[in-house]
Amino acid sequence: MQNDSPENRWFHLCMEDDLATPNAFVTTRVGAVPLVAQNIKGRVVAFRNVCTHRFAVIHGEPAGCGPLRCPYHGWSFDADGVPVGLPFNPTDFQLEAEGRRRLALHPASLARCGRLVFVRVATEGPSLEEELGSGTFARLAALSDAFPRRGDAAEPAHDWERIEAANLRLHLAPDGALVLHSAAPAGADSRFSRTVTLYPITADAELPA
Amino acid sequence: MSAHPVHSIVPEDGAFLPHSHFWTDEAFARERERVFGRCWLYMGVFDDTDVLTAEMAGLRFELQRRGGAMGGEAMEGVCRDGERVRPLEIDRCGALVFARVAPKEGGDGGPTLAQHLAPYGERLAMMSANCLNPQPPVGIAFQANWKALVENTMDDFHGSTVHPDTIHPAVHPDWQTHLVTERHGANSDSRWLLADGTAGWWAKLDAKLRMRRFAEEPFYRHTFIFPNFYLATFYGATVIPHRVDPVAPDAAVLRWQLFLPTTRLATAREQAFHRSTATYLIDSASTVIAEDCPVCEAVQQGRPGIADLPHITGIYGRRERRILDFHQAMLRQLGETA
Repeated sequence: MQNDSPENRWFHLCMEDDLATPNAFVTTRVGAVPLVAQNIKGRVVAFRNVCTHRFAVIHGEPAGCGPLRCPYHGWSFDADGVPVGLPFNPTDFQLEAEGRRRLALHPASLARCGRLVFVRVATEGPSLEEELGSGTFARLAALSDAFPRRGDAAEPAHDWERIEAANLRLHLAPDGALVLHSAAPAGADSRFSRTVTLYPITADAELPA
Repeated sequence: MSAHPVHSIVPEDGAFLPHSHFWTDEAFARERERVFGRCWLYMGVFDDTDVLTAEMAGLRFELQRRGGAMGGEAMEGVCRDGERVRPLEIDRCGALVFARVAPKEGGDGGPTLAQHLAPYGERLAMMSANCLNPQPPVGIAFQANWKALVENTMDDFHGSTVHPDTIHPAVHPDWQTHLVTERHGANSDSRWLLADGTAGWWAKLDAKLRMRRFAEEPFYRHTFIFPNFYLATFYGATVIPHRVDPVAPDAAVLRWQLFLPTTRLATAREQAFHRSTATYLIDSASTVIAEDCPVCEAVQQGRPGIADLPHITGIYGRRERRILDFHQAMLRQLGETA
C-alpha cells in the first residue's frame, strides 16, 4: 500500500454511541476493503468485514445490531476476531484453538477523538491525532463532547462555521447545533455516507472556542 | 497442500485460483479463451425449433439441428466472437446437447464428450430421458463472478444458514449421515436423502402425474460437469439442467429449465394439474436461487477486501472439497496451451 493511499488514512465512521450497545455494528468500505466496527460483549473492535472461511462480507448493512456472524455458513467471531462458532466443526473442520486463531479476522485500526470513532484499513501508521494535527484533534474532541444529543436534522447556513478534517465536514451554528457529515471513503457507495445533527445538552451550554 | 487436522484443507498458494480471478478483466479474457473457447459446454435440449443459442463470456454459440428427432439427425453450429466465426463440434449425451469450439486441425483434439463427462456420461444420458414437457427456460442475474455461483452450487452445507425454510427442511434431518458425495476430478455428484415428508409429497405427486422415473431414488441429486453445468434431479423423476453463464468479470446469469416428466396428460384436468405443479416447482426453485444470490454477491464483495493478505486462503471442510477440485480443474484448463 502506498503511504498516501486511502488504506493508510483514517476515516470517520460513526459516533461512539452508535456502538454503545452489545452487537451494535457500523460498516464502511475503503477502496476494495470492507470494514466493520462492532461492539462485542462491551468491547468495540474493528476488522476487515470479510469472513476468513470463504470470503463473504459478514455485515452487508451500513449499520445495525447483530452478532458478528457470516451469513453464508454461520461462522461467528469473538472480539479478537477468532471464529468461535463454527457449524459442523467436529465433522467438517476439526479446528482446535490454534487452527481457529489462524483463521481470525484481519484487524483494522480503530481510534476515538472525543465521541467520534475513526477507522483505518492499515494496522500500522500515524495515530489519528498525528494525522489530524493536535489542534484539530482537540477541537473535534471538544465539539463532540459538547454536542452529545442527536436531534432534528438542521440545514447548515452560510454564516455557520465550517470545519473539515479527514472525510468529515462539520457545520457549527452560532446558536448551538452541529451538523456532522462523513463522506463515504473512496470506493464506497453513498450508503456509507452519514449525516447527523447534534445539539448540546442544554441550549446555552458553553461552547468550546 | 497441507492437510489440516484430518478433515479440512487450508490450501497453499497455487492450489486454488487467485482471488483476482474473480473480478479482473484479464482473468475473464483468459477464461473466455481457454475455458469457454475450448471446453465442452452444455447448450440445452432441442425443442421443436431445432435451434439452441447460448452466450458465455461474450462468445455466442448458435446450434441448429437438421433432420429432427425422427432420424437422420445432423447438428451444426458456430461460435461467434465479434467478427470471428468458428465452427462448433457438437455431440449429445442422451437429450443433453453439448458443443465446443472445434479444435484446430493438427492439434491435440482434446477429450471427446464422453471423456469430458466421465464418469457420469451414462448416468446423465439415463437421467436426460426425463427431459420431457419442457418448461420455459429461466435466467436469474447475479452481480457476482460466475465461479462464485459454481462454488455456491457445489457447497453442500450452507442449507441451514442460507436456506433454513426451503432446502433445509426438505432434506432428511440427519442429512449429514445420508449425504453421499462422489468426486472424480473436475466432475462430481452429491445426493441428499429427502425428508420423509418431502419424499411423501413427491410420492403423492407421482400418483397423480405418473411421472417417468429414471430411478427409484428418494434423493435430491446434483451432478456437476466442469466448467459450468449441473443437473439437479428430484425423486428420480424431475430434472433441471442448470448452466452458469459468465456475463462480465463481476456478473453472471444462472440459466435453468424444469422438465416435469408427467405421463398422464390426456385430459384438461391432468394438463391443468401438470401446469400448476410446474409453476409451483419453478417458483420454489426460484426462491432457493434468490436466497443464494445475496451470499454469492457477498463473496464477490468480500474477496477483493482480503486479496492483499496472502495468509488468508480460506479453509475447505470435508464437504467443500468439490470446490477445490473445481479450482484445480480451472488452473489446469487455464494453464493449457493451445
